[in-house]
Amino acid sequence: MPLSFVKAGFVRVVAINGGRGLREKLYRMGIIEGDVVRVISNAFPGPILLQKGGIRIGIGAGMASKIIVQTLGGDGI
Amino acid sequence: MMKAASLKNNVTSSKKTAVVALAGNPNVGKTSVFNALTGSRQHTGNWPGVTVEKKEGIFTMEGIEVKVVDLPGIYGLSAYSLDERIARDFLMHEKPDVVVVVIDSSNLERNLYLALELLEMNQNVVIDLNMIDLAEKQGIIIDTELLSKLLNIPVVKTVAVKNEGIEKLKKVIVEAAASSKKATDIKYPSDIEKHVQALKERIEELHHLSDVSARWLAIKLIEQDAHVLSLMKAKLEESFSELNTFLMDIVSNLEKEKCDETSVIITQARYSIVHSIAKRTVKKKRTFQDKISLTDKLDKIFTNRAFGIPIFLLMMWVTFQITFSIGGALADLIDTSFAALSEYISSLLEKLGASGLLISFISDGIIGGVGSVLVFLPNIFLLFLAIAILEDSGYMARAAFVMDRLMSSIGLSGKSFIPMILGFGCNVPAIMATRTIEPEKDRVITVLVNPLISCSARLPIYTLFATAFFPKNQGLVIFSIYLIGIVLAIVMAKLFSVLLFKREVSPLIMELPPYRLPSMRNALSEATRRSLIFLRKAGTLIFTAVILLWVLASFPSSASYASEESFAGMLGKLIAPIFKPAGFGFWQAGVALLFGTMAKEVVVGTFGALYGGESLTQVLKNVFTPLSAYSFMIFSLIYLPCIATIAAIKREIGWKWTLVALAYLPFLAWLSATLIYQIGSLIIK
Repeated sequence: MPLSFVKAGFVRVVAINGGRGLREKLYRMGIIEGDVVRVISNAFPGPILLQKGGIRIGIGAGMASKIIVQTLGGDGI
Repeated sequence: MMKAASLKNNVTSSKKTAVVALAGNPNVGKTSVFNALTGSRQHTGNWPGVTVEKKEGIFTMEGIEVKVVDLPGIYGLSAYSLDERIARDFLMHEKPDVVVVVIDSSNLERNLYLALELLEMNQNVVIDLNMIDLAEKQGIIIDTELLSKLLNIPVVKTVAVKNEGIEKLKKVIVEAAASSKKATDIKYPSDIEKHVQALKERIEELHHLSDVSARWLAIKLIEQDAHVLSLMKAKLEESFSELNTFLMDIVSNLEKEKCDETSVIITQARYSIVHSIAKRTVKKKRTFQDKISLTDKLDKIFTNRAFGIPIFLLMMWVTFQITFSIGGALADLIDTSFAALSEYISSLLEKLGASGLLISFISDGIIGGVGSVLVFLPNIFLLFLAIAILEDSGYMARAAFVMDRLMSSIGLSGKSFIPMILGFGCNVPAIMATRTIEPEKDRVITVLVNPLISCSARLPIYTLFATAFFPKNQGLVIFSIYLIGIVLAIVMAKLFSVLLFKREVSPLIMELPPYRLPSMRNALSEATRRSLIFLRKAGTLIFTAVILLWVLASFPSSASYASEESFAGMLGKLIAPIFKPAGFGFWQAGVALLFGTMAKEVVVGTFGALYGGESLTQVLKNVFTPLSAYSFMIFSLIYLPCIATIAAIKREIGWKWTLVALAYLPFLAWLSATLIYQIGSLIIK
């Protein structure tokens, strides 16, 4: 499901359905297909806060809707 | 620490020098490494052609003087933002002897990406595993020997904030600078590597670009990097088309094979190299599941969809309350001392037999004018202190995050919000801070509306009027002015994005630093630095403005000081009618606003000089009503940016947009002030 629907918890990034700009920016921030990231908060339709390996990344709602993830459960905290 | 004497020695004897660049992602403690390396021997300037700050420092080791250049914090070398372009241009053209990649040891994988790009560029790289103590605390163990062997470059562990490992780092830098040993190429998977090799050989045949690594150029060309493409086109001229045909073949082949764009293919390939290196060198004792940091808990609250914005507003409100309740008390103290000084000096001058003109010049002009501005030093110091604390604690990035939703509804992203908050301090650095904003459209709009964010130089105006007219609700009244500024900025941004640009989306993607206890020392030194700028301004620009004003107010000699018949009075009377509908159509207000374009504090300084000698709050009560005072504050908020801000706008986005700003602001100011005064008059009656 799109990342924008995830309330909180761990997810695995399945696909990034964006153009070159979006994907490259995510890669450079360390978000890549196959990665497990934690959703800390989701202020939909506001931005989403992700955490991976101690790095926190804020992603706008529009961008988040293009990131397809698989939920792995767990709490955001 | 090197003594000054030995530095001189170095200069006179035949000295050896080296240049080292510090590169790294944002938030890896690069500044701490820079400070630890160079101590107090640093200075700041600007990068050529742009207003981005360039920090340089030196250290001496084994008789070699090493110049350290701090590059902007970057994620890669794709030149998406101005910061990345600056870093890349420096590395390409200045060719430092050594590049130290500062790495946050807790996040080796992502940080290695930049190191890999630098190695591709054939830079002489040294890896600095910084904040190693925090990583070890999290159970992360890095096999530095293996990492060093895999990349064939030196790796040093440091904790820069505690000065640990810095001597070792210096030693390694000096050694690396002396040796010409270059790292081995890091090979891509063979299906990509064969293309890189083929293109590299073609480039080498051309001989035109012998100063840049051919391998790096080949990789960047396959990535279809716009910057490198245009550079090659310019350098090769006719022979470019031949190379380009060859290149396009590779690109279309690769894209067909992998069903993706080459830039993505290369980035992914680079990532998988980084991933395999990290996998071999990093051992984690614990899994990701059980790591719950305080930052995450705080973020649950501060970035909450319901509480995020109210918490932000509360933070701002508390900031202003502190600025005014503590600052106000201190300001009173300065005010009374200046009044006493003015009296003392004029009586002293009288005894010495000075002329009335000289006495007036010193007590009314200089002490009255400059003094009335200096009174606000405590407010300004406290406001900058608060901003520094908010920034240092990591909260500022959260403010940008929670405001993203609102910002995206006006066509911008949350990133544009940080320059807005910085604007509360001073619009000049705020406008410069827009360089991290990626779509050019966002950058232009953010710069255009920034003057609506009320800077600290306008604070003296509000404080003066609020003290005189709203003594019981000072904090609230001033807060409302700031809020109106924000609302207008939002409305204007929306208008600009609809009228001047196509409705493009600007997605947010930003890193949020971990929260930390703000360092009082850092915050105090930042606030002191800013206050000194304010003091210097009071001593130069404001001083000059006040003298000019005093001259205009004193002459022609037939007119009495600051009367309607003086030059200042005539000038003021000329423009005063414009302000009549807004409720302050008298000449002193006109003159004050006119001079205020030099620096906003001058508005207060002008009133100080024009009504010299008397208590300013008392005099103002005779000419303003609370309503017209409020309308005047609003007008001062909006009407025109100061000269320094206009210059900053021009530097960042060019003349065309500067003219747009200079056209819409006075109009908006007049409209808002008039509406407030006219509607207010109806309600009060």
